[in-house]
Amino acid sequence: MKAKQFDREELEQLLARTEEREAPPWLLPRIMAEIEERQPSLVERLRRWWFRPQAISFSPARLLLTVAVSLCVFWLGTIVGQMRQPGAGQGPVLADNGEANFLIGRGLLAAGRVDQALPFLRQAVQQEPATPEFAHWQGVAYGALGEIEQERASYISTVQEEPNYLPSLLNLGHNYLESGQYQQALAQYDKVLQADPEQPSALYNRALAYQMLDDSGRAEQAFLSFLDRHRTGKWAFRALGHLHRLGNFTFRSYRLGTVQLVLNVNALLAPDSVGRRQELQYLAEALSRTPGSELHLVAYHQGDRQAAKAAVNGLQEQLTRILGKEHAVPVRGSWFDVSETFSDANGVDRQSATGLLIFTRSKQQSNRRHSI
Amino acid sequence: MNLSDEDIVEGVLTGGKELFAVLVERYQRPVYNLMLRYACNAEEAADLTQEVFIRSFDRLKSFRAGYSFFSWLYGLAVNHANDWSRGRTRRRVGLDAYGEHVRQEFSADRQSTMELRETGRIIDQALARLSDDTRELLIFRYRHERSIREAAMVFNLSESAVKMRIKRGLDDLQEELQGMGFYESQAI
Repeated sequence: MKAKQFDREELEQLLARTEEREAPPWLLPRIMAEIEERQPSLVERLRRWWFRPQAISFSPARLLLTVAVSLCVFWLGTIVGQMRQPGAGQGPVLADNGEANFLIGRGLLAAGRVDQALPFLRQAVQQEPATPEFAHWQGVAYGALGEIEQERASYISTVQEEPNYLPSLLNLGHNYLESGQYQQALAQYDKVLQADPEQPSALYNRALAYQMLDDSGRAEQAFLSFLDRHRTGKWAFRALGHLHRLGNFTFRSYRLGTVQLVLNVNALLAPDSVGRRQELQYLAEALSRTPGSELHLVAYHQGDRQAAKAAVNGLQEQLTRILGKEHAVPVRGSWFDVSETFSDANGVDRQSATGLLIFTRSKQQSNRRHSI
Repeated sequence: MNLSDEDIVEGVLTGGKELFAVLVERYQRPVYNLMLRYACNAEEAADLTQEVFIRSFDRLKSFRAGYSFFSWLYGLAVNHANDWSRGRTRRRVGLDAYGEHVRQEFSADRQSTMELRETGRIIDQALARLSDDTRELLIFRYRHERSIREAAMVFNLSESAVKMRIKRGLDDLQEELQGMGFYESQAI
């Protein structure tokens, strides 16, 4: 991967899109309370007295305007007054109904007001302890506040109430992982994966837990298992980095135009076309996003040129079938009887007796080269 | 009813100081965030925000109709933040070392939230590494979508100086982002 070069417009958009934090809710009443207490200076009061209206006249328009402004000021004063009521800001007014407290708590949580959300969620749990969702979100709020023990207690109470409640099982696993209780984390993730074998966080963190337990064999298998199912997003690239550090190069990343792709090289180079098919589907999908280019497949097989050639031909043939007759991406192949030197996901140079290099070139570039 | 800033200022100046609450409601967020970038502390930022609004209330008579109230207020806020900053050693937002950390590496609901917010967080971290003036100029111009002319008035610079500083600021931001390892899209 290389550092991204932004153009000016991209930078401007990034700057415009970033979000700002909400001001604390008590700030406005506090500012207005201070302003309320401020008396005009003596000079100001004298000035106002001196320039006070003295002529008595009647104008319906002015009267209406005065009434409108007075009503507006009264309305605003009522709002500000309510905010300054004794008790306001000292504690939230909780609803009588568990569902209502839960919804308010969730809303506050979504708005990032975690400390305000917690009392509502706690109250919801007290009112309806048998509803697993309430205890789960109470746990999420505790977790966001860094209160790990209370977070865990919330999830445990949820799964006691409903043993198959997946969100709490998963978050309980995260909680154990974060607390360094790796075996307990693994047990939770296994429960999650029994119910949902594709669950990405459980798959990834399971690998991480093995790694923390210095069980590199199982960690490697778990990262492979994650990449078998998930190829996109930063966690796929992190899993790739872990695997390469562990010396496993089953998966490699390739850049096709602007697209970065993770592929199983062993499957691609295997003689079995069934195993190759899934990987070539990923490749074909990525190619559909890089119009105007041609694909190059370069196979390496140390000391065996024919094997390298056969691998490329097999891939070319199968990929062309997948892309269909009307496909606009030419597929070119090359083969060498030497080992491949490549840079792994962590930027370390590696060498492999067999390997596959995949890249794209724009058709324009290729044509230019041919004309020279 | 949607009173303009100018109407409200006029109302406050003629004695309806409760109306000032509307201005606070409208602009407390950008001012608070400005202070947060200087102070790096929520409590301190709230205190500074309060001081700015009180100061603006006291100086409301110096606000000229036809000028943007937000720009006028922001100018006061930037000056106040700079005054505050001069007397203190600023605590910069520390960069998380790139690398693995269990807490960052995982969490279900937290994972997706982290991914969504990651770009914003990185931009904010890169901005925090720029000088105060440059950072605030970029934020005023792009986050608050203000014109070069307004920026010139708020930051007390000529329009050409604003353009030059914005260009340099964007270059510096680019450099910081690259230095922090902001990579090209990693997704398919």
